[in-house]
Amino acid sequence: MKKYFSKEKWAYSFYCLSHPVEGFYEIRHRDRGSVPIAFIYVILYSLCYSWNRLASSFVVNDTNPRNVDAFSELTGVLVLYLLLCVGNWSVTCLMSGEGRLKDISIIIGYSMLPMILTYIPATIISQIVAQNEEAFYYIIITVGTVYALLLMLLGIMIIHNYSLVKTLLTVVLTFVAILVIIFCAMMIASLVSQVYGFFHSIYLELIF
Amino acid sequence: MKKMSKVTKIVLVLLGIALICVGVYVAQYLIRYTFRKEYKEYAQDYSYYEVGKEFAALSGGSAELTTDFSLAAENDNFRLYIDTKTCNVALEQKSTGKVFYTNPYPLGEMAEEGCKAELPYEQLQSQLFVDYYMADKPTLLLSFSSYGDCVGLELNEGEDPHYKIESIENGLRVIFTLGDTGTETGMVPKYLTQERYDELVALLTEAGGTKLAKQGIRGKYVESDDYKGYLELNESNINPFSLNKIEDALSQIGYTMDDYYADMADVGAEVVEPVTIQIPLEYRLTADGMETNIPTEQIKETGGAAVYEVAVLPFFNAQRLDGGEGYMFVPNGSGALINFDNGLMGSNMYYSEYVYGQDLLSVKETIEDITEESRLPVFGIQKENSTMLVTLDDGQSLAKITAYTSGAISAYNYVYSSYRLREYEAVVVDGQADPLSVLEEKIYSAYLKQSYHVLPDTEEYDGYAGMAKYYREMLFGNDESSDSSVITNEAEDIKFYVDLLGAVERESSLLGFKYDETLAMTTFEEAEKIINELYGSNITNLVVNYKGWMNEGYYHDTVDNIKIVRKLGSKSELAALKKLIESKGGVLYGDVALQFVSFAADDYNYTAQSSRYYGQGYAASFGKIGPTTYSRSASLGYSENLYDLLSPKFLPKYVDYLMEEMEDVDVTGVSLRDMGSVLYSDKKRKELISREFAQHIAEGMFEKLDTMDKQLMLNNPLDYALPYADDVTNISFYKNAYVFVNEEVPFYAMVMHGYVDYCGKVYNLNANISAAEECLEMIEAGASPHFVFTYERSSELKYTALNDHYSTQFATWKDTAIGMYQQVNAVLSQVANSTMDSHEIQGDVVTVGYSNGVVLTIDKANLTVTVENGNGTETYNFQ
Repeated sequence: MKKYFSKEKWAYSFYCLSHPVEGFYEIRHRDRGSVPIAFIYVILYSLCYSWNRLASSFVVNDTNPRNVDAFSELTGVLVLYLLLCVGNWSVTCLMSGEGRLKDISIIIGYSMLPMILTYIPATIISQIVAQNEEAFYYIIITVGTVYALLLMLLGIMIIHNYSLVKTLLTVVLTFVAILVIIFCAMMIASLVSQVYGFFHSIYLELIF
Repeated sequence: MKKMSKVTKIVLVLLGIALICVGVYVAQYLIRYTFRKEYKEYAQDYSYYEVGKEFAALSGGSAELTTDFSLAAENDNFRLYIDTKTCNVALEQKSTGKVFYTNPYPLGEMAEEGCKAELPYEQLQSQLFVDYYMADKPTLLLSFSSYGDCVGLELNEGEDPHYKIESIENGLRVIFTLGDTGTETGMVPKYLTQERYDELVALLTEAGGTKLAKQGIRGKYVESDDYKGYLELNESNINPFSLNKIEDALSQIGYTMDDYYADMADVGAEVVEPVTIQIPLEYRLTADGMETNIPTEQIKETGGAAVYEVAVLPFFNAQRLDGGEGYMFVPNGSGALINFDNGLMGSNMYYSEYVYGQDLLSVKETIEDITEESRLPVFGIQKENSTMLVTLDDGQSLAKITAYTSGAISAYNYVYSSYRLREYEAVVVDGQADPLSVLEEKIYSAYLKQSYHVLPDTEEYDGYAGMAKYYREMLFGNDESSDSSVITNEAEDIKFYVDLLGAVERESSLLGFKYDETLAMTTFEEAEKIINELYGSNITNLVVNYKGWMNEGYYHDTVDNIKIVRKLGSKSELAALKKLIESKGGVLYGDVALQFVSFAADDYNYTAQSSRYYGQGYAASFGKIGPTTYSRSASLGYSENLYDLLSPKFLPKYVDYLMEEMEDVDVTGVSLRDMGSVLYSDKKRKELISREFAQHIAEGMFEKLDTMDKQLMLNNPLDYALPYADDVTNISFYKNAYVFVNEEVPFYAMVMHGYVDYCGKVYNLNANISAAEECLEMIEAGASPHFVFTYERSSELKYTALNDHYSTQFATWKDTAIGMYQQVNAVLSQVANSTMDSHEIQGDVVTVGYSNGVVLTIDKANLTVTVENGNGTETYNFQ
């Protein structure tokens, strides 16, 4: 456990925030990152996102709080995270990327940190902004989100040792890969349900 | 032997454990569900069939009838006659000489009887209509009538009639063979062997020379294409006329249908069986009229015919156009009258309604009209000089009551019942545009017994009030628990029905994570406050129905483990509440749903215990009616609103649980939310339980519940449950607003008043009627006020499945409720222990008379009630 959750590892995730290039390089080459911590950040991000939807003031939020279901949002975020990691891994494998699945999961998880750190204060600030002052709220949210996306892009570039152009190309291809994975998954699901339906109707005919 | 590796061992052990688990699961499944057979105890034996004797007319009988009719049976009060040519049966009351005919008699020509076509004219002379499908392709509904397809058929010479009349004890039986009994070529064999041909020709020649042989079969056969080596009738030069001549010739040498079948069998040719239905109809005299029976186990179908519906004596006691004033009574909602010759029915329009409503297993998914189901299996015919009440005594759950007025298809007003003997289902198959028609294989077993009661010729048995009186005496008269001393005719405060809403589940969320919390709307302590306030206002005859008091609230788990909702209070608090209510003569009921199991019930195995459809074996489930989709299974956003239909097979199991669990619960009685008011079948193909069987199971259950030392409250019950009820709630004051129906009468209430206490639907959720109008409706129906209360604000219920309870807070309703009770009580307390003996409608004014002599005149236009009793009259103003 210590291996994954040492004080040093926690601190390192913050180091990556301010020194992304060096930070991500050392994750790849000196194993200074931790997958479980990355995973915790993803979960934290999802909770912050739900809480933001649930609790931010009505000035900036038109969501019906009754429709916020943190559990299903968590599931969605985790599935998306998994798809991103696997999608990126499967593309970069073929494009001589150096990053391992482990590294990809870590950098994507660590990149969530700016969003976690901005969503909470933004939600609190939303309680005190008046109608014409939403800009303060949106600036905080935007800064966090853009910074997170930048971190992700940089991280992919560094762990795979890519140029920027190649990185952008792999990002596009990653999305294509995700679509292919979703397509396959849906096809398998429909096939399984048809087979199940077939046996179920035989069962029904026999029993009833 | 090689030693097993560690991994193999672990795998084997795990497999073993898994196998044992599956075995245990299957075993408990079989024991708990599949092998549960106690419901079979309630199966009725329908195999009895009296042996009939050759019909012989009795001597005697009144002279005017015996010209056309023969006397078949006689008892102290009645004589039964039959016209052996038309099968028209007449029932004569000896004391008054009144005669009731099963078909119009004497019958005029077609036009004279108002029939525009042959078919209605044939129907007019029929005792039975039989609708049937061809079993192999049930897409088209075909029909037979007993006259058109049996009695009225033209016979060949020497042919016996297709019906047979038998004498039975106290009555007679007619066995109809409906349909064309002949074969394709009549008696003439389609195929013959060469030897047989020679033999027959020789016989013919012997009997009548060459001429007869030629008229017969000589030269009319050729080498067969279908059956090599045999002869076939040369159909190219055969027509119906020549077939008749051949038959004549053959019959001269004694050739019969038996020989025909033997000859066909010799060749090995397939005989196409004719499509016929043989159906017996029994008439028996009773002390007050007659009864008819159709033992369905004796119905024989040939040629692939499958009986669907049988209509019994459609024209019995029918009233001809301009034959005098009168009406037909039908159990539509609270009860309704259809006046003779009312002119409301156009060509081919009619009134028709299922007894006990339609079986939920055969209704369409979308609802077409929201109607009040008929609760009593009765109908009646009131003529100027006679009152007849017809009760359906067996098979009524399969029945439908139909009424026509003159001008619809004939010059007659008539009402009758018909029975559906197997169900038809259109199954939508994936990938096919047309639905597949599925017809149940076996006919339901029943006697289809209905009794025709000729009511005594006195004032008190006149009209629908008389019918209600007669029916009431039949229903409660033989019941020991409610001996006649119930009717004391003494004044007494009426009851006040209060539903208290206890707990209901509400979805809440913590930081966006959802969970169900139990929302306590009225705790036991708060209930005490409500009761104290009501008692403080001099309402003592209180009937409290506590809803949502057990197993997680209103939408509760099954009853096999009843636990009081902890948020409402403890067991001792419930006991204290009961004590408080009973201290001034009130009663406390605990509300329980048995047959409609909400999706919220976690411990219910719906795949094993729900009723299933015949066609595809789906488990049946319904919900609320969608206000925009008209779907019957709308959840309206809350899955609790959806419910499974518990199969009648498992009803005994849950009733046992209920009785056992309720023993330790401190309430005066049990209120059944659904049992007794809903009746449906289970069409699981291998274990089909018809609605008739389901009714016998339910009747058995009520007998059992009667032995429990708790009272019983029923929610708008059907007739068979009524005698077991101590309190009845939610009865309807209204008929269904069909255009053919003239008047609405509180027949259901008239039957109950004095014997069972009852109330209508809750007033505080009814947005359409003012308090004064509601009071008058209650007074007309003799019903007590009924409210539903919560202690908390009703807005709390907004995000629960009970969000239709939008106005329930006691504090808001207290004054209105007490005021309405006192107003209604002032009038109805004077007749609380009397029966409702007369009821008369004159426009907006209704006059109701009671057995203690009190007469209420209710003026719905001016909102006043005038009470006339021994001490003079008093007018109450409700404005």
